Amino acid sequence: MAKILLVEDDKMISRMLTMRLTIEGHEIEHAENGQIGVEKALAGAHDLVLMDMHMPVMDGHEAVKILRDNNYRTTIVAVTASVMNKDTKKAIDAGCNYFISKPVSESFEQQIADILTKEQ
Amino acid sequence: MYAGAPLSAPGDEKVGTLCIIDDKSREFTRQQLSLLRDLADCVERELFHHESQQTLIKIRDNEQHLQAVLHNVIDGIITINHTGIIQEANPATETIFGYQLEEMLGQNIKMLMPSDIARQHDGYLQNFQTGGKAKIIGIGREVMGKRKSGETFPLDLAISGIRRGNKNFFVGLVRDITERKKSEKALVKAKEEAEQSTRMKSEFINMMSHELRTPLTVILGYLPLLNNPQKLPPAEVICEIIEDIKVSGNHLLHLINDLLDLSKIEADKMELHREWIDINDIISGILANVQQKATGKNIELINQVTSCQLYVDPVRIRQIIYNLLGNALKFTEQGSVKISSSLQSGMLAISVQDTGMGIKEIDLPTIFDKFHQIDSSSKRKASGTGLGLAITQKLVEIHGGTIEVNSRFGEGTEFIVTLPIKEQ
Repeated sequence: MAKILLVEDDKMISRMLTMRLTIEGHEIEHAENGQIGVEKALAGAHDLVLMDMHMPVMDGHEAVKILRDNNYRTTIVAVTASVMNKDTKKAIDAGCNYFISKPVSESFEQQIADILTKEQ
Repeated sequence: MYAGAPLSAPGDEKVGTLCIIDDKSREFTRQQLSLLRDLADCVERELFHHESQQTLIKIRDNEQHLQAVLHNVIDGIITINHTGIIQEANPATETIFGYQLEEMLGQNIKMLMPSDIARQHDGYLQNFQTGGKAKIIGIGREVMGKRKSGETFPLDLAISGIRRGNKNFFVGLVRDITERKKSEKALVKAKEEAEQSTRMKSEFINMMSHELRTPLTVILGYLPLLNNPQKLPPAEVICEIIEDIKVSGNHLLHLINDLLDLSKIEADKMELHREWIDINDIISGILANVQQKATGKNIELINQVTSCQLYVDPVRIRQIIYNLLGNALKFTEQGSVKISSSLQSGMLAISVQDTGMGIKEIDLPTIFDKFHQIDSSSKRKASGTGLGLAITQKLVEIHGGTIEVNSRFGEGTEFIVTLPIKEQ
């Protein structure tokens, strides 16, 4: 099972995602904005980062860009409620590897498992 | 018998013959022949005297026609000589430039130009004289003119060159296009505004989609944890989940109500159901509801509202107060939120004052615009649709009241709603 960093400012969404992923056996570390996310990502060895794009202090685009500029290699998945084509493109351009739109689907756990398998 | 004398027009052009015909043959004496010639001369004279009369009449008619055109046309028509001296100008020229005809005749045409163009005009005339080069002859173009008042204005100018005798003259046709330019500008402005409004609407829809998806993510996201009777979470976890779903559902409802209010306001269909209420009851009720949120953020809620009867729509008044208190609590991190009231000549002023982040001066004028959020970036801290204050202002206005805002960035904000006590 994987060690996942969840960067998400909405308390209820992060509680829900943590619950669903913990049941699958994943270990979740939470960061409440991009800045804390960058610190935690660089400090710890995670298998995967789930990144919200709209956050106070530092948004997801900036956080991902900083991580990639620091040669951060871990797979980053944008998990965002901004779902227009330009938003998807912006997230991938910033350095995200995958894009999952909110609301997440019932097969969210499966999507995460597939990504983890692919990126191993 | 046949005898004839040729008839010639001035310049010796042969135009016909004067003939004498008889059925008997006869000889003509030299004297008789001379008489015939004299007779032909008389005919020639009569003939061509009449024709030149006709020509003169034609010329006079043409001249009158031309004068009528020159006098009544709305374009200025000015004739200058090869050095730029004004020879003639029609009445429209006087109207356009504000000079009397006498003030212009004999003056250089440069008097009707702004100085930067005037400086180059001698050069243009010179070029045409020496090389026949003309930048402007034959094609119309837009230039600036100068009125007697000194005011400069845009005009369409077309120039033709003419020759009188062996001298060159120029006839300029001048059309004042000030009004046309004004309406062009107004059209461009209207187009830009329409584009801006389309852009804002599409940004708004984008933002609304994001705002609606956020509570839905919570509601739908929890469902897979609750649909398997064999694998239900512990009861206390279910209660936490239900609480999150409730908050999210209410938030969703609030967003949808805001959208409906906006559409009612846009369609001018917002109706009030007025009744007599005590403002103190309404505000005390609302304060009790938001107290928990204030305590959670460690913000002091101060109530200085006094009892006062108002004839208003209680649902909408609650909405106004909720919006203002909600904003105050949302944008305040420490200190207090104070609500107070004062009565002045039939109007009740309700003030909501916070010690929050405040509003930058540059943002104050657009604070009540719909779709407007001061920070609409992906980094903004506060969520929301940007509809709250637009709706609040509209609700105050249909009650016959006013809303104003005072704020210092970094120090706090005060909103003052002034409402008439009863319908006016």
